[in-house]
Amino acid sequence: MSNPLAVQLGSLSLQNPVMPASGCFGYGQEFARLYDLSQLGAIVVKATTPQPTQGNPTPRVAETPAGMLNAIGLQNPGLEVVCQQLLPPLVPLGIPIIVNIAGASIADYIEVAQVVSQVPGIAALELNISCPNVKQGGLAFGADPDTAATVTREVKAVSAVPVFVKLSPNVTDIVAIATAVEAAGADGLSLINTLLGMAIDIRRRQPILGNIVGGLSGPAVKPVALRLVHQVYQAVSIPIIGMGGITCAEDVIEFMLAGARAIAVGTANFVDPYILPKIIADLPPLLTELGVSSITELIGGLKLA
Amino acid sequence: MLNCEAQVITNTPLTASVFSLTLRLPFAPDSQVTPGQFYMLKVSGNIGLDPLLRRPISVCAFDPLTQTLRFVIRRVGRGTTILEQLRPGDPLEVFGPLGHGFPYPEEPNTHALLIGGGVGIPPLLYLAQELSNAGVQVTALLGFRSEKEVFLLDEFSRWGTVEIATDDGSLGACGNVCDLLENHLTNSHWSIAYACGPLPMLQRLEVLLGQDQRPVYVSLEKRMACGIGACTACTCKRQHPEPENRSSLVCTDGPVFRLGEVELDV
Repeated sequence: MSNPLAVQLGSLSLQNPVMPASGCFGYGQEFARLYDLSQLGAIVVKATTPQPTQGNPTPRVAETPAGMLNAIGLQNPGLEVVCQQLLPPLVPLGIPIIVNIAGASIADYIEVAQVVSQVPGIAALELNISCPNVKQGGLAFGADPDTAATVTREVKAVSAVPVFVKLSPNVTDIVAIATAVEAAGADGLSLINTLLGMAIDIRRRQPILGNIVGGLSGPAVKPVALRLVHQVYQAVSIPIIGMGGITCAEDVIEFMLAGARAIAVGTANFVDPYILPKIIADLPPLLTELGVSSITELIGGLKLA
Repeated sequence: MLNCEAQVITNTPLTASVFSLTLRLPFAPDSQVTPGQFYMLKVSGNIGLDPLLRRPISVCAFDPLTQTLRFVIRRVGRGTTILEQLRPGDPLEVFGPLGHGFPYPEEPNTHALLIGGGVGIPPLLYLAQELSNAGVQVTALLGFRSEKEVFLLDEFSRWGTVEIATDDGSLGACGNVCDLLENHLTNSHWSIAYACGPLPMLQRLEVLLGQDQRPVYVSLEKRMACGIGACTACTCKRQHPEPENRSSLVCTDGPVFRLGEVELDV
């Protein structure tokens, strides 16, 4: 009997559509102490930049209604340490390993893409042009269709593996950006990154975050994420990894009906460190309840009057 | 570290805003629970996820025989209000123990100085108990805002000598706990010190004890999301950034650090 959770994400075969979202799972080592990571559909690791990045001043997180703001600022140990020490232990898991790449210039993106995509066993890159928490790079590349297309084209030219482009919701027209990066050769899309927001301490009359503003995530953003996945799905033909506030199997189905071929769980990993295996275990009975034998039947299955 | 659903045994007020919550774990922790370690408490219950994040709370006592875990918590917002309203029999999901606790003195027959301010005091009670049981002499310096806000005083007295300071002088010395500490700076009796409390207290403590050759350990608090090193929210700068400008995380490298190891900031 075939695996009812198996999905095809472009050229990647996933045993199930559930993966952690970049930035919410480190490089997997913290969670590897808690459960067997090989049961995941894929792993998306933290954004990697050419040089070690210290990140933003603290406080870096603030809780908000049904969500949280973060302004980590892409803290990571840099390309060399990531490729030599952090990625190799993930390869033997036998599931697709997707590396999120970031930088302050197109040259940075090219450098990281070139090196990371050569690491044996890496399945794909996730091009981060949507981080709202760094002054240079990140969102500067993701807010304009032409710039987004340029960086996509340059990275595609040097990458030995498929490239998924992670899109920001902090734009006027996400469809224009999605279609521009598709035309530039993107193999798939990840959406959404966090929504820019802020929180204020009224007694100190100061922002709670050291960076003043930060990215909103968690259940609070799910309706926005679903709407954007739905809109982008209707405009592109490349596969979409949907994310934004997913905390349970029912949320997964919502995103897949909206058009996602796979999904990523971010903030919920912080609340329940066992959330990914829990969601994966909850999916088969939910499929039975919904009367489908393969989860792929649900992709884009939203009924519109 | 393990995640499990614990059961509330008691939840009693100690002051108008501080309460003592004891829980029974359904099974033994997978490692020792040492003073200074913390648990992530899921305040949103079993339905929904709001408030979203778990609350990191330091252990105030742990009894391995009954698998009973105690936390002493101050109500400051939505999450701690939910914890305050828990009643005996209620379930509460907890994840831990997490982080590194207070290192014990290497030599026996030592005298330890414990310095606590406000809601930083509870983990020091567990430490006082463990040190005293190990034969270490304990002197605790405790600071509160006023007599009305004093808690855990009797329990500290079981494990050693206690000195109290209150901001308004309503009990003990008038001033804060660092004023008490000033009397012990040149005192040669103590050979190791442990501190937990608000940031301004720890910053003043660093001024007072920063040059002291005796080991001083401080427990830090920082906004965090996961408690296991994945979110990297609770980063702190190392005072001597070796090697390669590495920073530390309060959750996994701490929350207890040797004084001088990391910068004390928000």
